Amino acid sequence: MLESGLGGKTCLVTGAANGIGRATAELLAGEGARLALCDNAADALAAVELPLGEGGDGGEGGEKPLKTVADLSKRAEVERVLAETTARFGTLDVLIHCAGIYRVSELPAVTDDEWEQVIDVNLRSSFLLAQGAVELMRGHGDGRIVLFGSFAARTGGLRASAPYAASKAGVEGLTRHVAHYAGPLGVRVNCVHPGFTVTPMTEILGDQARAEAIERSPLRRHCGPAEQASVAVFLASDLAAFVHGATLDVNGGMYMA
Amino acid sequence: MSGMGGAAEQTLAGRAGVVTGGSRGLGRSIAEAFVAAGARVAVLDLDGAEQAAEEIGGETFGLAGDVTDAAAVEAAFAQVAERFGRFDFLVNNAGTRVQAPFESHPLDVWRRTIDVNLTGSFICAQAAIALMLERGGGQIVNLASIAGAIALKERAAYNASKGGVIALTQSIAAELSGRGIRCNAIAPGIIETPLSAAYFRDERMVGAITANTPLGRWGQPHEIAGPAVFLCSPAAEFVHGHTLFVDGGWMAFKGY
Repeated sequence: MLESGLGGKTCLVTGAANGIGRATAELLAGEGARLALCDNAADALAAVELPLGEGGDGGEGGEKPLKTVADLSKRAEVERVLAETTARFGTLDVLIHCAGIYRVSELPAVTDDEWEQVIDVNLRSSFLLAQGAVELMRGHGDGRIVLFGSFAARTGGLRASAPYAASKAGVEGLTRHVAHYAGPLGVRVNCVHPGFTVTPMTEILGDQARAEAIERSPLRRHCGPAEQASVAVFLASDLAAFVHGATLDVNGGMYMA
Repeated sequence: MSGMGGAAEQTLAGRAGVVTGGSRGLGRSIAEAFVAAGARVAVLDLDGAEQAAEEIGGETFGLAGDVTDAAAVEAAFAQVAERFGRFDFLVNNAGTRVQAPFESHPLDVWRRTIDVNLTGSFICAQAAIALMLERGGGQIVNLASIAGAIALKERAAYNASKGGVIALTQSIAAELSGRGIRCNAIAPGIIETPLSAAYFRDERMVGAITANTPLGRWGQPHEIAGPAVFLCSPAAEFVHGHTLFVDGGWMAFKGY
């Protein structure tokens, strides 16, 4: 009844070199999943070592994770990552897309280039990966997709820039669209909206901004990547078998929805 | 699952608390899942609680009680805290649902529905929080409904009560955060339980449910129990004041 059902499942985790993606990969390794890890930072990805042990190191058979470096805002790169994953494992069961970039430019300072980059890396990648994953998952009819939005989708961004907030709100709409299309195909898709989480991505914020975020947080603390990863893994698991098209806010009560 | 802070069976190890309306349907399934996750559970219900507890097994025990009776709830919960030596979680599941056209909706039915679904949740939360704070905290999960966010026809009282449960959830979360209390809601879609049994005998209704649910089916009680365990577990440590829709995609399809 409480089995995650993730043992032996092929899971593609993006942004896996650090932060929430890496924490997700660690939890999935503990579940005995077969892992394809993707990041744009080659050195950091190469340095990822998952805990060994029962089902550890990415698979029941002690399989090493597949590691692949890619820019997921490009269609050809996404297609390559999906192809490498299925070439190695024969299937794709779970996609948890954590990769993203964060910017804090004030509205007047946002350039066309910044807008395009943030929308491409956060939103276009979500679209490309979901589109490709659904095609692979419809064949077996038991797929799970978790996309990452943000607290900024709710608030419009307290520090985050306009393109960041817009890209993450876009992920929520995308999640619902994919839910309509892919639910009947046996593919579940959900979205996590993390609040402020201590990761390399948010290092761009200064100490003062971090202190203010704690001040505003009802739980009076920041969130670590593991607390976001555990929610993503729940959504991918059998425990969430009837959770579909939903958004799960993980912000300690900063924005209740 | 280790994503939930250890092996599935150990997710709630050592914890103790109450599931209201736990004799049948969703509450029963939730109580069973909490026991499977290592928790000790007291089942509170108008009737059938003792028998349900016996069937569930473990250290489960039954309490006959009405969630709208504040004095009775307080006494029952004190018994739970004494027997288990702690009070870590409350699942506010007891509820009622009556269908009535708005223009002829009987006032007494309105009052009874608000009383059980909303006031009952308030009474139980208030009593539980007092006991939780003595030990430094706890988790509350309130059973709302998709009806709390979108109106189901001919269920004005039910809809209003469940909308109230979502607001109650946020109120508790806002006021008690930072004191070790986490409070969240689950908003189920159409789930096959004794309360909804009539739906599944009505062909038109079955067609409407499957057409409006992207997963193409209605849910089973254990599919609400899993999220309830999750929300009370360390895996949801930063989830607070949230309403988790567990509806097979109904809300994504029908809109907010």
